[in-house]
Parts: sequence; C-alpha cells; structure tokens
Amino acid sequence: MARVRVRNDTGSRLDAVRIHPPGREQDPVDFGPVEVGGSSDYREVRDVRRFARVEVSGPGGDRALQPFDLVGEEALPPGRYTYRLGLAGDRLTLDLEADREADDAPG
Amino acid sequence: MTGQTEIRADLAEGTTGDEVDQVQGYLERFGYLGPIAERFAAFGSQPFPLAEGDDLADLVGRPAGVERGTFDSATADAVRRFQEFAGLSVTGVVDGATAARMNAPRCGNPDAPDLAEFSTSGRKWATTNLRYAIDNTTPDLSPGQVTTAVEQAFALWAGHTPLRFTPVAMSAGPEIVIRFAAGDHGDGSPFDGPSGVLAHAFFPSVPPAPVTAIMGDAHFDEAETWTVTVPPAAGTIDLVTVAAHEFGHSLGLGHSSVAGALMAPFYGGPHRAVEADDIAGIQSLYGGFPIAHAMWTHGTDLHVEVDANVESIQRFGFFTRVVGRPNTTNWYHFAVPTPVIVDGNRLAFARAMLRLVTGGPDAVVRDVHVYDGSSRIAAHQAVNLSGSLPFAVFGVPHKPDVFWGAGISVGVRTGTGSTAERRMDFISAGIDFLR
Ligand SMILES: [Zn+2]
Ligand SMILES: [Zn+2]
Repeated sequence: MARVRVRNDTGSRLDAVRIHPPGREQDPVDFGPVEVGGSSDYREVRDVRRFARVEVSGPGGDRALQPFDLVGEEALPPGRYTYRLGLAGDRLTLDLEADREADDAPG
Repeated sequence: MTGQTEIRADLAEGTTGDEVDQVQGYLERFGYLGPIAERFAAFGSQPFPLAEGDDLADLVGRPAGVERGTFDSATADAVRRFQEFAGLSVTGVVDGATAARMNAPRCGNPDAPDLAEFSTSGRKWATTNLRYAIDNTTPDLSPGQVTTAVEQAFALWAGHTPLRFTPVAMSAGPEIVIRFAAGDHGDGSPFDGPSGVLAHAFFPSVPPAPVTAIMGDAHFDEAETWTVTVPPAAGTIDLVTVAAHEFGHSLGLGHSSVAGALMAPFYGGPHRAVEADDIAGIQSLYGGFPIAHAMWTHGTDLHVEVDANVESIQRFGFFTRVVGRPNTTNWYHFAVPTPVIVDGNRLAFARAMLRLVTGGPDAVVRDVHVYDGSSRIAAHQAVNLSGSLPFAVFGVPHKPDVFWGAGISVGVRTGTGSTAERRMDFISAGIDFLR
C-alpha cells in the first residue's frame, strides 16, 4: 500500500482532480478541489507508478493527461508520494515526488 | 567562464558588428550554433524561412551557416534555442535577461539541449532485420488501415537506423507480434478498459531467449476506439502515434523526459514523427546506417498532378514556388534519379528526404509517399507538416531492393489564407540508398 496526494502547481484553482492508478482492480481516486499551491489529503492506493491518467477540472475547463503505457515503470515501494500537477504552456504536466517523513503531515 | 568582454543587451535581427560576433561566439561554444546546430538542422528542427525574392545563393548554407557579425535569422533561431533551454522568454532577441544569462559564469560544456533525455531498457535486438506479424486487427479499422498504420509507425524508426521491418506470417516466428486485446489477455498485464493505459509493449529479447517469445511484442487495448483519421474524432486514439511509441519500446527504448519526444510518457493526440531526442535514443542502441548512395533532385523538377488547383507556379533558380488555390488539395511529384545497380550490386531504399518551406498552416504537407516505379514502398499519411522543413525524413519500413526508380509524391492541402500563406517552396527531394 502507498499513500498519494496531489499538489496543485498549475497556478489556478482545480475544482476536481481524479487519478487512475494502474491496473484493472483499482478504482479511480478523487482528490476533490485543490487550491493554488496547496495539496490534497493523502489517499491510499495499492500500487503507485511514476505516471497515471489524470483528469482535472479548472477554470479553463476539463483537461486530461493520458499515458501511453507504463512500460518500464516499476511499482514504487510503499510510502508517501505527491503527484505534482503543473502547466507548461497550456499543457498539463505531472511529476511524482517521494515525500520525506517531515512532509508527512496530512494535507 | 570565458573571461571575454560582456555580451551587450538589445541585439536583434538586423544588428551588425562585433557585439553580434560575440553573441555568435557564445552560441557556438555552447552548442546552439555551428556543428551541433547543423545536427539539429539534420533532424529537421531548425527553420530556414525563405523570403520573397530569396534565391539559391541565399539558400546555400542557410540552415547551418551564419554570417559572423550579422544578426541573421539563423542567429535569432539559435538565440531562441538558448532562451528555451535557459527558461527565458523566447524572443530571438538578446534582451537584458538573455545577456545577463550569457554573461553568468558557467562551465564550458555545450548544453546540447534535449539530446540526452531519452532512456533505454539496456536491451536491443541482435539483428537489424526484424520481422513482424499482425496477429489480429481491431473492428475499429479495416485490416488494410491497420497494416498501413503499422508500416508508417515502423518507417519512423527505419528512417534513422539500420533497422529493416518485414511483414511475415505468424508461423514464421516473428520478433515483433502486434495484437489487439481487451482485459486479461494472458501476459500478466491485463488492460484496464477505456483510457487508463492505451497499449503496452515488451523490450527486446536477448539470446538465448527464442525470438518467438513475447519479447518485442506490442499489444493495443481493444477497449480504446482506434482511428487513423487526423484530426481524430473526440475520444478516439491515433493508432499510428501509439504504435510508433510502442515500437520504440519493442526496440529497447524507455520513456523520455523531453516533453515533445515521441517517447515521452503521455499521449497528446497525433504525433507521427520522431524528434531529435528519439533519434538520439534509438541511434544509441543501433547506430545510424551506412549510406551507400544518395541522390537528390532540385525543386525545379517538380511535376504537378492537378494544374487546375494551382493559382501560380514560378521557378527561381533551382526551386519552385507554387501557390495552391484556396481550399484545394494537390499532389506534387518528384522523380529522383536512381542508381539501381552500382558496381554490380543492387541498391536498396533507405529513406526519402524533402527540403521545402510552406507559408504556414494554410499550406500543409498532408501525405508523403515513396515509390519504386509504380509500387508504393512507404506511405507517411497525415503528417501535417508546414512552415520551414530544412530536412524532413520519411523512412521506408522494409528497405526493399531498388528495381525501377524512385519517386516521391507530396500531398498538399491548401487553406484559405493569403497568397503568401498558401505558397510552397519546393527546394530539393532526395533518396538515401543502402548497399
Ligand atoms: Zn511508453
Ligand atoms: Zn499484453
């Protein structure tokens, strides 16, 4: 098991963020609204990889990041992780960071 | 750190003098101009716009060379690349922030922007003659459309490597098997329904594993709705793009951290091209290929298919400027002189190349087809290229022997823009051959 949260570095309030963890058995996880510069609460997921399908709703409408595949992307060890959502031009970006213990205070 | 005089701000296209020479020296030293820039030009990323009245003399050396001391368009392009790499606003002008960054102390290694961001699995095929089979197709497309999409995807990698991709029957034990499957399909990596992931592929097999093993295979999630139409209808996924990405894995590449690369992890709609980073990645595994022969023909050798769809056609020196009528399509053909047999050896096709400039998105190269005699040996469909194409490469997936002579056909869509926006400057067309 791992715990995952979302950080909003897009510069706009996100009204909804949904992440699809890999595999058929895991349901999409809703992270709710996330303020500019803020982080969501942690949610438990069975399996975390560097990439996932992400859907966000914000002032510019709905956007999604669609991975081709997870080829070569290992399941990460149990722990706490943050998916950092950003913007490059008008393109959504996603980075995964492993959280240090000090960052572990809930959302 | 160079210890030279400070670079001055407020230098822009048209400026001349020693300050410009100094900026050019800096750009050259750190890989934005000169030999590395020439490599970028070879990857097709460096613009060389032709202005009204440009002639051949002005074209020679344009992609690579700059006149020292003159802030020309190549210098402005190099400044843009520097700004992009440095995270500055991309203006092509040496403004205060750009000059400050250039004057900052730094080490002397070229930045080689974006050249080392690919990753590899550490595995590659021991042979360059790879055989593939399409085990099944998708009801979303006709079998012919799937075949053509797969060939186009392989052609992208064939154009920059010694790899040759040949279709065979399943019973022949091909290295790469292509399948459409939904949910659990017996390889321990069940698909997850619509969206989630689109496909997956397996890295190359290394001896002693039999080539018939799953290694190298590419699987596409049947729960997606596949298309080959560009632009795709909402909710449909471009098979050519996804196949080209998956075949990158089948050949041994991992994901790239360069956002615009084909091997970047996210699908962002049709992307039917390999970028400099993808080429660097695949060549790190397989190298380039020895060109036994290369032949080019000038843009003035252009043949127009439908005269009625041409508003004007003019020949300048060795290139041809065509303005298409608004809202029309047309084909432009080049017969490239072809050495069929050299020193007693029959040559084989490696790739086709075009050098051309369009007025922008109102003059779009939709399709590029490569022929041997009347047989089509490569079809690059819906590539949608416009603007400056100093060296566009179109691979030939099977690299067949040459029999009758090379032809390159360029399908162009003209929009409704001004005359300047609807123009196409055809400069050269060429073919690289293998022995
Ligand atoms: Zn991938
Ligand atoms: Zn599979």
